[in-house]
Formats: sequence, structure tokens, C-alpha cells
Amino acid sequence: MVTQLEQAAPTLTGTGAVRADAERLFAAVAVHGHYMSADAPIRVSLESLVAFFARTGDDGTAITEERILAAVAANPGVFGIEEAGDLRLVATTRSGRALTAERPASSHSFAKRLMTPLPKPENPLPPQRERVRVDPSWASLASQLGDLAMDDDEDDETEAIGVEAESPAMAPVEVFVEPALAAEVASPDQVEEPVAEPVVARTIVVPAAPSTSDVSEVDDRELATALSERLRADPRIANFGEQWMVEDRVPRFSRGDLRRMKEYIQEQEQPLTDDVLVQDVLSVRPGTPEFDLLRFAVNFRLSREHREFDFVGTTNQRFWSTSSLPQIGTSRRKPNEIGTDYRFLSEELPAEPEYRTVASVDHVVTFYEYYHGLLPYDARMQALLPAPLLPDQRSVVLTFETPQSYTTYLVELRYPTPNRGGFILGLDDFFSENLVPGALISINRTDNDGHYTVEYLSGGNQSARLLELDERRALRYVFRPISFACGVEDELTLTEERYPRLGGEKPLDEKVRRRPEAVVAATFERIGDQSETPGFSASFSSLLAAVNIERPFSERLLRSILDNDDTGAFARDTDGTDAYTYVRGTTS
Amino acid sequence: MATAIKLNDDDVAYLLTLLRNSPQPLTTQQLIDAFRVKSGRA
Repeated sequence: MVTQLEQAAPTLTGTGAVRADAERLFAAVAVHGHYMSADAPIRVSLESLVAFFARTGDDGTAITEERILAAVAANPGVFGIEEAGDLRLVATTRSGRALTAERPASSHSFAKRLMTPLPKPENPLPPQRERVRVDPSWASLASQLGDLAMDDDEDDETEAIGVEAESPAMAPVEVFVEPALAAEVASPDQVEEPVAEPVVARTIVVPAAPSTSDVSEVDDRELATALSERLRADPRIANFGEQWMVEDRVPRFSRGDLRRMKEYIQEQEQPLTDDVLVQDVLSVRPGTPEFDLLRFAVNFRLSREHREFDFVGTTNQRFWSTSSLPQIGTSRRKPNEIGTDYRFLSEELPAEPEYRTVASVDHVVTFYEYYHGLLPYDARMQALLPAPLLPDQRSVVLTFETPQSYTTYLVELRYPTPNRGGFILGLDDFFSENLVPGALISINRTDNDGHYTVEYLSGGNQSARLLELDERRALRYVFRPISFACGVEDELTLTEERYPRLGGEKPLDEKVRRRPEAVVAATFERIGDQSETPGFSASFSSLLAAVNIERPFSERLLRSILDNDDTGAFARDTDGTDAYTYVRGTTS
Repeated sequence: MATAIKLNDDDVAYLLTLLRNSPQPLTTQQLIDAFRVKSGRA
């Protein structure tokens, strides 16, 4: 490692005295630039040098200005004279080279290289693409329609130029036209510049195709209807519920994927949501970029597999089922028969359904509902529950959560058909474990249109002999002591004290129970007061509780039968408050 | 219920482009919002 570098003294020329002066001059100047680099310019004014030598030199040895200039002139390779205004400067370097001497170029220094980037290399212009030209025989509309009278051929030619507007809009679209093309496009009327002048790029205003009318006054619902009607008819667009996508961008599933989904639903023995299918069958986790896409793909693709899969979900809770799954709810009665029992509800539903417009519905559980574990889909329930998501959807699986028993039940809502009423199946366990006929329940909606909470009115522990259907031997109604802790509607609770004659009765024959009037007549005979011969008398509330043993009756249906009976068997009891009478033998 | 407005082919083409450029399914409300923006721009 070099620790010290001795600078070699420069070679000075001149006669003896001049050379000696040059050596003293160089020494004085070198001391001035002692800490400077070897090539850094050292400039000392001639005046200060003269003063220096006059001060330090003895008599006769002081170097005068003339002698300094002579020494500089004798050594042009070492010294130089520079002028800065009135001053004259002696310039040299520690290495002994005059500044005027040629020096190697130092423009590409390290510092400069870092601070000053190289200029960007100039790329050659890309080669001009060859413009596709239409065969001239096709380009001129006038030549094709030469026989027709064309008044403004040039206008047509202008329109024939393929200028495309990016999107249709009401406002005119400004289109930039290349200078070379501008001369072709412009009609004679539009050309303002003389031909001799250089052609300048011009802007031509082309009216775009007319778009739809202003929709600012149209509400979202109306716009959604128009949009859905139009897009659903387009085979290029995939739709499921409220979601839309281009059909060819929806992932497709193999037959193996579909089979695995079906088998997984069968294995779980209950309908499964699209979320579960995507996670468990397709092994895609929620939160990953493709999860939403695959979920939409599951819904859209399975909706095309009508023979294998049934959609039984809602907008927020999309359940899928297969035809081989066991039925949800009671097996005591077939769903079709239950639907027939509830046929009267179809007439009670409003013409324009208003789905999910109420927050909760209170309901008193009847004997029929308790026995089958179901609820009627009447007008109030329709206003609480969601509409079918798909046009041909017949049923929907909902989750009913019961906070008081920390249980969530999977229930199935069967939508009404033209011949059958709607009902909700699957509440057998909830009813039998917590309620008795006549109990008050409240069904509340949540933000999720497929999830609801069901609560019952809590009451103190009480015990009563309540009506039951004994199924152990021959079917027969019996009263048994039952303890319960739910609030009940007393008038609709079937206790032995209120309806003692129901005990021991057999269920009505199927032929009888098909006719509501016959069921009402039989109920009068079972519970009616016979003190006023020859008929029976009963209050409306008692009748309503007792007719619902055999088959479902709404208040409206029962009132209609009692008030509008053609046979005259039923009549309003003038003695009782909201009571009716029945005279045997007048119905058939 | 009778619909007061009907979408023309240009509207469908616009919505189709919108759907084609989206990697995820779009909701009806998103389409309505985009359609209103387009209508207002026009």
C-alpha cells in the first residue's frame, strides 16, 4: 500500500539565473498548493509573488516581476500566465504542468457518471404497418348502385368510410382522422384550405347511433325488470338470481365434479349450500380470488342440471338438493295431501304478493300443525318469507333458529301451486320438545333472507290434561297429563276441562274430512252445547280450536262456512257472543 | 306489470362489454348503476 508519494520535480529550463528563478518560483507556487491534488490548477497572482520574493529575499536575490515573467517564459510547459481582469496570475500544477498544456479528457469522471445518466438511446421509428385496403370494386357504393339516382355520391362516400365510434352515445363523437385520409373523407364543402397548402389533421364530427332514452326518472325496480327481461333472453349471458356474467367465462364442471357434488349431498343427507359445495367438494377456500367465481359457477351450472339437482335456496342462502334426499319433516302425511288440506289458503293470498315486507309474525299453533310439525303459508307468512328465487322453484329450505333451545332447524317451505296451498315442514322436534297445541310463537326475520328466528312465549311450569292422538293401537283421541312451560292461548288450548267429549273420539274418515262443512258439523257434535235442542251451540273460538284437530282451518274459512252455508245447518247464535248453532240432519 | 322502458341493442352491447371485462359476476344493482352512469354520460 502506498503511504506517501513523492512528487518528482519538474524539469525546468533556461539560463542559469533564469532557471534558478524558475525553481524558486515553482517552489513558492507549490507551497501555495501544497494540499492540492497533483493536477489541480494552482493560481497565484503575479503581484503577490513579487511581494513574497521582495519580503523573503535578501538584497540582490529578490525576484522582480520581470524576472518572474522571464522564468515563466522560459518554461512554458510548466508555467502559464492567465489574466483575470486587472490581475495577472501565474498558473501551474503540483506535477509541474502548465494548464495550457493538453490534458487527457476527464469528462467521464466517476462522480459525473453517477450524477449524469447517459442519454436515452434513440429507437428507430417502427416500420409503418401496411393498411388493409378494400378492393376498389367494393369500395365505391356509387359504382355498385350506378343505375340508381344518387344525388349526393360524395356524402355516401364519406359515410362509407369505416369510422367506428367506441360506444354509442347521444352526443356527437369526435373522430381523429389521419391527414392522408382526411383528404379522402372530407367532402368538397367541408374542405376549407386551398389544395396547395400542406394538409393539416382535421376533426370530423360523426353522429353516433341513438342510445336508450334517459333513465334518470326510472326507478331501480323498473330498470331491474327491464334489464332482467332483456338479458335473460340473451344466450351469451349467464344469470343466477341477482348475479350476471358472460356465459363463456363461467367455469365448467366435468361429469365427475357433478357426480361428486351429488354424492356429497346424499352423504350429508340434507341440502347443502353453494358455499359448502365449493369448499368441501371443489376444495376452494373462502376469501381466495376464485371463490366467488366458482360459487357462481356452481349455482349456474347446477341450475342447468334439472334432472340431478334441485335449487331450494334463497338469495342469501343458496341450498342445493337432489331428488333422492329424504323429505324434510313429517312422514305422517304426504306433502301432496297436506297441500290439498291447505288449498283454501290459495284464495286468501293477495293477488300481488309482497314478500319480506314484515319483520315478524305471531302465530298460535293448532293441533293439526303441532301433530304434523308444520306451519301454514298464509298471507302473513308470505309477507315475512322470501319469494322464490328461480321462476320454476317449488320449494325453499330455510333455517329456523330457536334461541331458547339453542337449536337451528332445517325447514322446507313448499310454495303454493294452483291446486294446493303452501306450508312449512320440519318443525316436529321443536314443537314436541317445547310447545303444546295453542302455544304462541313469534317468527322473526333476519338480514339473511333464508334464516329466521323462532321464539315462543315463555310461561311458568304448568300441567294440564291435553288432547293427544293415541297411535299405539287404534287411532283415538285421548287426554293425557302434560307439563309445559310455554305461554298458550287459553281458548285454543285443547284441555279436558273445555272439551271433555273429545276424549275417546276416533279421527274422522278421510271422505268426511275432505269436506270442510262436514268437519265443522262433526266438530259441533263433538264439542257443542246441547242444552238448546235440537241442535248444538258453540263459540267461534272453540270451534276454531276443535276443527283444527282434523284438518287446517283458517278463521276466514271457518267464518265463511258458518256464515255462507247454503243448507242452513249453521246459523249465528243470537243468544251467545260470537257463537254459532248447528242443527243435525241438514248437511249431507 | 308492464315495463315502461326497454333496452335496445346498443344497451345490451354496452352491458355485455361491462360483463366481459369483469372477472367476477356482477349483481343487478351494479349493472343498474353502470347503466345510469352511461345514460347520464350520453
